[in-house]
Amino acid sequence: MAAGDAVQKGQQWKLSYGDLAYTGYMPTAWSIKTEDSDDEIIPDERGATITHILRNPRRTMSGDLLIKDTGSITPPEKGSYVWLHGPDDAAAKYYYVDDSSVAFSTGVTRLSLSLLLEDSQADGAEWDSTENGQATGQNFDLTTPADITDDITLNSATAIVRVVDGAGTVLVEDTDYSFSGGTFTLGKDEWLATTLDEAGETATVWVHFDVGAPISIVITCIES
Amino acid sequence: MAAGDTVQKGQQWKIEFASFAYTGYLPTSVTNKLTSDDEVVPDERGATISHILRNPRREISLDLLIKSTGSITPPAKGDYITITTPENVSTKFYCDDATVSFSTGISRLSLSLVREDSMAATYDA
Repeated sequence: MAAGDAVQKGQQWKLSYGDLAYTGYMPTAWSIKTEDSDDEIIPDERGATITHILRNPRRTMSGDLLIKDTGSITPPEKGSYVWLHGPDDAAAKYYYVDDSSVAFSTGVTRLSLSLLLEDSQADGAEWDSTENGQATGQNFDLTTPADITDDITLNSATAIVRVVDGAGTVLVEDTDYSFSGGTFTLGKDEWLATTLDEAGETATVWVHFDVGAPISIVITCIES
Repeated sequence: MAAGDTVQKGQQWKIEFASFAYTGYLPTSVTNKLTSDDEVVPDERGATISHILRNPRREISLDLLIKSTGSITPPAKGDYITITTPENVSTKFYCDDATVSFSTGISRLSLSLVREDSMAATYDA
């Protein structure tokens, strides 16, 4: 028995938080609904139910988390996405932030989250190689500037509809970026050059698709 | 008296969960209701003269501890769930709501189930 293990004697139970993991945070309470839906009930002429019409199936999760020193006291914005491994997820994925708040007290600071993943919005596209849901390890070298490229696999998505940076600026297709043959390219002379001009800076770009959650890429500015 | 038996002295009571069973889970609370939509018709002075009862149904609410053989993935809304009712009848219900809650302790499943008389044939098909 390793230090910290829980041991059960007698009837065995499901304990703790399953595979829940959200980097920088520790859960104190969590709940999930696997597939919630909007339920339109159709009655007959005497008011008895004859049909349930279920629409917009979705997974919802909510809970409270203690914020580690590596986490952030700034709550995610409503409408943004967080990369999180649910208690029964096979792998981490992006969840839509429906509500979030950070509560302060004399004790540990806490993050409360309500997350959503509609079946219609899942797994539109992904980077060919990812770490924590993001394409990372991309450097923009001020000494020898070059385009940033990475490959995207389209799943249920068919097209990029918008590319936005972390400041909310919408990038211009065929000027700031291009997407062709599965390769996403950030041009070295436009958005990259005006956004990253000092070694050590980082910038994030979110790529939005016609179906599914957006994906992100982090670029680090270096000077070789 | 066998190990685990409950013994009552004096006035005897209905206790525990009767014949309720749902494999993989242990109940901590079971609420069983036979209900309907009730339109109350008043007279001209507000006194009730009629109850019009529509959509008779059984509603069961459950709070359950999840055994190691159970699942931490809650059923989907709209799924059919088969339980043994406290009256000892194996019955299919429509899942109206299902939530699994986690903590440092035992994980818990909360279920709201409904079986409308008008939908019984559909659920049992």
